[in-house]
Amino acid sequence: MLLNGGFSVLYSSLFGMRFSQRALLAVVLLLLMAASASLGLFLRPESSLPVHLINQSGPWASETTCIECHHQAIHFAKTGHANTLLAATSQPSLDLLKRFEKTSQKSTNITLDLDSETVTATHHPQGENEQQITLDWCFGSGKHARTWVGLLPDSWGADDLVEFRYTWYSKMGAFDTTPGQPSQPDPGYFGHLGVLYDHPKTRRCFACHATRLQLDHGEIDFHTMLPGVTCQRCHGPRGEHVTTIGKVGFNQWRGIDHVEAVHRCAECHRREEDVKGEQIVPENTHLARFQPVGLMRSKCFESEKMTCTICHDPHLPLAQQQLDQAGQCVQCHDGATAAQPVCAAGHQDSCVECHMPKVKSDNDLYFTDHWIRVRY
Amino acid sequence: MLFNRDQQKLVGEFLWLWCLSVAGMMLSPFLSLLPCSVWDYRFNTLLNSPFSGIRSVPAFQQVLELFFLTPDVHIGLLGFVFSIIAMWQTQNVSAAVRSIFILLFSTTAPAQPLAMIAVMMLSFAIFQHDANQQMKRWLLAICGLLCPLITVEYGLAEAWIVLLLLSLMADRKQLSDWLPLGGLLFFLFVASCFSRSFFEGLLRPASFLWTPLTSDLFPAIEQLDTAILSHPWLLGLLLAAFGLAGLQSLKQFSPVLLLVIPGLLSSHYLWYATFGMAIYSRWSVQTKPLKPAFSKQPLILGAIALALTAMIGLQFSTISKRYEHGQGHLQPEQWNTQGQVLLFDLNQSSFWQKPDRHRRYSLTINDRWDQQSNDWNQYLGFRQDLGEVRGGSYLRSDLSWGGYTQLNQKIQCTVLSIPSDQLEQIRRVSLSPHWSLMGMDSKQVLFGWKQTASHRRQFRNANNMVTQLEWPSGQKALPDNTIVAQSATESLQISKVLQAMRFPYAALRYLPEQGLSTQEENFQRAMCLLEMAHRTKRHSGQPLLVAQARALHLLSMMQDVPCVGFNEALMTAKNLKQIGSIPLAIDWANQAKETARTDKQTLSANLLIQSLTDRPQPAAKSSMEPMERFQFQLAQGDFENAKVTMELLKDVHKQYAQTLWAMSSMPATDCYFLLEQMIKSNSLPPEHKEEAYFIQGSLALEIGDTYASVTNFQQCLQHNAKSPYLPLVQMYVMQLSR
Repeated sequence: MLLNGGFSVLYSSLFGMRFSQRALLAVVLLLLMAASASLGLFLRPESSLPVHLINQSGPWASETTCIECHHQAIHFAKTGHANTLLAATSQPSLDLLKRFEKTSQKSTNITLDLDSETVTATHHPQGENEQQITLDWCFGSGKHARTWVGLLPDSWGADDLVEFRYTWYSKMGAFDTTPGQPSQPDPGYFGHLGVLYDHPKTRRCFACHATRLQLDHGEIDFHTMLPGVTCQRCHGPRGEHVTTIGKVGFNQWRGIDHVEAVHRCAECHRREEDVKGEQIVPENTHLARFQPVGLMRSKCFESEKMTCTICHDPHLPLAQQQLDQAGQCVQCHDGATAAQPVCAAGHQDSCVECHMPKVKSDNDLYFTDHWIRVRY
Repeated sequence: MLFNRDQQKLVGEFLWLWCLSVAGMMLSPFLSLLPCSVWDYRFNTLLNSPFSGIRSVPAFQQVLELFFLTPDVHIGLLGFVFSIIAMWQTQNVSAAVRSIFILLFSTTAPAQPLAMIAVMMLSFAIFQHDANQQMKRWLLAICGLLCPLITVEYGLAEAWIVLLLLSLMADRKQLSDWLPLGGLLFFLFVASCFSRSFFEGLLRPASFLWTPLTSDLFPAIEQLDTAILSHPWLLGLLLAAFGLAGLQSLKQFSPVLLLVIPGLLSSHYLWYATFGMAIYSRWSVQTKPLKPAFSKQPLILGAIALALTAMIGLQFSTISKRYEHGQGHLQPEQWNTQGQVLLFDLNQSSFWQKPDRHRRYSLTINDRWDQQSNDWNQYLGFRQDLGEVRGGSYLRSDLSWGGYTQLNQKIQCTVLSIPSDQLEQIRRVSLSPHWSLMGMDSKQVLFGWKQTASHRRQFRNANNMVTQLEWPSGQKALPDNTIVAQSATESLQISKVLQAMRFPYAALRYLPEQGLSTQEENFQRAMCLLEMAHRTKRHSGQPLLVAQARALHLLSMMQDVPCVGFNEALMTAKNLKQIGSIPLAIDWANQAKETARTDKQTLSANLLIQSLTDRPQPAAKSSMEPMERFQFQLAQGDFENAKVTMELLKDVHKQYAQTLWAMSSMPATDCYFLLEQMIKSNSLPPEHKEEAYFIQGSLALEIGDTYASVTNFQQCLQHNAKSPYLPLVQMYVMQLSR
C-alpha cells in the first residue's frame, strides 16, 4: 500500500508538468545520464589488475630503515640474497672482471673495457669485424657463481638481454662457459659474446634478482629498481609500516600452510610445475639446483611443519646458519615416535652429509640436494 | 499521441531525409568494388601476387586520385546528393519503408553509443508516426522477459518490468492483482539460483560506476568518453528534447529511459532498445492530439539542419568506419581445429558465437561476463599474464598466484584471440614459447597453444605464409584463410601486426607503392624500414644505411600529421633512439608530449625527452674521413649537411654518395634500379662494394625478387668473406633458398 501510494504521489506531481518543464526534465536527465557515465570513466582507478608483488606501485620504504627496529636486518646485508644483483660497475663486479682480463682474455679473444661508468666486452675475431656489447648487471651473489648481462633494447624500447658467455665460478676461482650456454658459440653476431634473450625472459631474470621492478612497455625502470632480494621482496612494500612507526603492519607470512610457504620461495627457486615431469627423478643431479622441487618430494615434507625456514634463517648469511650440524634435523628426529626416527646408522650429527649431500649440477656448480632421503 | 499531425509530418520528412542519407552512405562503399582504376590499386595488395616483381604506377591514377582523395570525401559527397534528392521524395514513401531504413541502420551500426540515442529516439518516433492501433501489452511483457536471456545490461530491463507492473497495478486492490509481481520475484529468485551473479547484473550499469576495473575491459563502452561534444551527442539531446516533450506521463517516461540506457552503454543491445522502443511507442499511443507546439517553418529548417548534422557526424563516426574496416575476416571453422578460445576483447564474442564456429570453438568467457563474476577476476589476471608472457608462477600483490601455465592446465584454452590493434601484446605473445601464430585479419590475431595436435597443420600454414612473405622463396602458393585482408585499411592493419611481430619485409608487402600511399601508410612504411635498420644494426653492428635514411626522410616529412597519435609518436621516438638518430627522436618525443592526453602519457614523454637530452649527442667527429662523415650524417637523417659533405668527396666516392643520397627519398623499386645502374657501370669503388651489394640484396628482398636478393647477398660475401653482415646474409640466404 505504501509503495502504491508513493507511486501515485509521484505521478500526480509530475503529470501536471507543463510542456517546457517536461522538455527541460528530459534534457537534464539525459545530461545526468551522460555525466554519470563519463564520471564513472574518469573516476575509475587507472588499473586494478592484479600485479606482481614486486611491481606494486604501493609505498616502498628505504631498505636502510629496517635495521632501525628489526635486529634480523643487522646481518642481512651480508646474505647471498641481498647481493644477488649488482651493477656491473660495482667494485665486486669490477674486481672479478679484472681477473677475466688476466686469465681469459687470450683464450676467448674478448677484451673488457672497464671504467666506473660502463663495462664493454669486445670480441676480436681473426680478420673479421669486432662484435661488442655492454655489460650492465652482474647476477649472482658470488657464493656459487656470477654472471654478467648486457641490456639491448628492441626497436620499441623493451629491454632484451645478452647473457655474457663467461661466468665466474667461485669454487674454480675462474671463468668458464655460463651454465646453459652451448659449448661451441652459436653462429650470429652475439655468438662469441653470449646468448640473446627477449624481453619477457629479461623480466623473469630481473624479477627474481630484484626487490622492486617497475616496467613501462617492457622497459625496466632502473631508477626505481631495488637490486637484490631484500626485506620487502618477501615482506611486501613497507612504506606505510615505516611512516606509521610500525603501527600499520601486515604479516603476509602468517597463517599460510607449509605448501604455500615453500611455494613463496619456489617462485624463484622453482616449483615442481616449472620442471618437466620426466626430469623429476632422484638420479637427476641438475634437480639439486631447484631445491623446493626435491624438498616437496621428501618424506620430511609430509610433516606440516616442514618449510624452508624451519632449517634456514633467511635473515642470516648461510655461513652463520650452522647448516652442517644436526640441529635442524633433531628438531623432529628425536626418536619420540616411529615417524620421527633417529639415524639408523647411529650417527649423531652431520646428517646432511649422507641425506642431503652436495652434488655437482652444471660446470663447477655444487648444490645441496634437498630431496631428503636415505641414499645407498 | 506523441506528436500532433503537423509535427508528425515534419518528423516523417526529417526521418526520410536522414534515412536516405544514411542509406546512401551505406551503399557508397560498394562503389569501390566496381572495376575502376582509382580503386583497383588500393585493393590490389601484394597479398594476391606477393612477388610479382616491380610494378609501375600509371600516371593517370595519380591524376584521378586528386579528385577522389579519401573514402570519407567520397561518402560525404554521395550522402549530400542523396539528401538533396530526398527532399523531393519525402511525401511518397510510407513510414514502414522508413522504419526499415532505420532498423537496417541500427542493427548494423558499430559501437557508437551516443549515436544510438538518436537512432532509438528516431525509431521511437517513426513507429509512433503511423500507429493507429494499440499493440497487445503481452508483446511488451515478452520483450522485457526476454531481456535477461539476451542482454548483458539486463538489470535495468528487469527494473523496467517491475516499474511497469507496479504502475499497472497502481489502482488494483485485490490480492490476486499482485500475482504478476510475485511471479516476477519468483523468476528473479530462480534465475539467481542458476546464475551466481544475477543480482550483480541486475544493478548494471549502475555498478559500472564503482566496479574497480579499467574501462577498456568493458564490452562496447570504450568510446563513451570520446564523444562528449560530437554530433551524435547534440543530435541525441535535441531529439530527446523533441521526443520526450510529447510524453504524457511518467508512465511513458521511465520505460523510455530504461530502454535507452542499455543501448547507450552497450552497442550490442541497440537492436533490443530499438525494438523495445518501437513496441512500447505503439502500445502507449494516446488518442488525444496535442496542441501544436512549434511553427512549421523553423521545424523544416531544423529538420534539414539535423539531417545534415547527422549525415556529417555519422559519416565520420560510423559508416565510413565500416567502409574502412572492410569485410574480410578469418574463418577459423575451416581449419579443422577446435577448442577453447580466450578473447582479449570480449566485444568479439559474437564472431565466435556464429553457429558454424560455435560447433568447433567455445569461449572461455564471453561478453556476458557479469554473469560469471567469479571467473572475471581470474580472466583478467590470466589475460594479463598471457599479454606479458608470464607462464611461471609468481606472487601477486593480493597474495594470489599468477602465471598462465598452471591455470591453463585447468581451463584448457587452446586459442588466443588478440585484437589486431593491440600490437604490444601481439609482439610479446609472438615471443612466447607456448603459443604459435595461426592466422590474422584486421580485427584479430589468433595464436594457438603449441601442444595442441589438431592445430599443427594451421601452425605450419601460418609459419609458411609469414616466412614466405618475409623471405620469398620462389613462387610458392600462399595458404588461404591464414592472413586475410581485403581492403587498403585492412592491409595497413596487417602490416602493423607483421611489423610488431618483427617481420618488416612481410609487413611492407601489405602496403601499396610509396607514391600511391596515404600518410598513414607512409608512416607505417617508415616503421617497417626502421625495423629493418634495427635488425641489421643489432645483428651486424652496422646500419642498413639506405633503409634508415629512407625511413628518416619519410618521418622528417610526417611530423604533426593527424594519423600519428601519442603511442605512435612515442614509439617512433624510442625506435629512433635505438638506431641513434637522437635529434629526430627528440622531435618525435616532443610530438608525443604535445599529443599526450593524460598525465601519465605526459610523464612518459618527458622521461623520454630527458633521457634523450641527457644522452651525449652523437656528432660527426673531426677525425672522420669525409665518406665516413657523409654516411654518419645520412644515417642520422641530417640530409642538408650530408649534401654539403658530399660535395667535398673525391670523385671516386662522390657518385656512390650521390646515389645513396638520392635513394633516401625514393621508393624501393627506384632505389633498386638506381643502385643496379651504378653497380653495372663499374663505377663503384671496391671498398664500398660489400656494403652496396648488401643494400642491393636488401632492396631486392623488399621488392620480392628472390633471385636478385640471393645473388646480391652472395656478391656481398664474395667481396668480403668475413663481412660484418655475414650472420644476417647467412640467415637470409638460408631462408631464401629453402
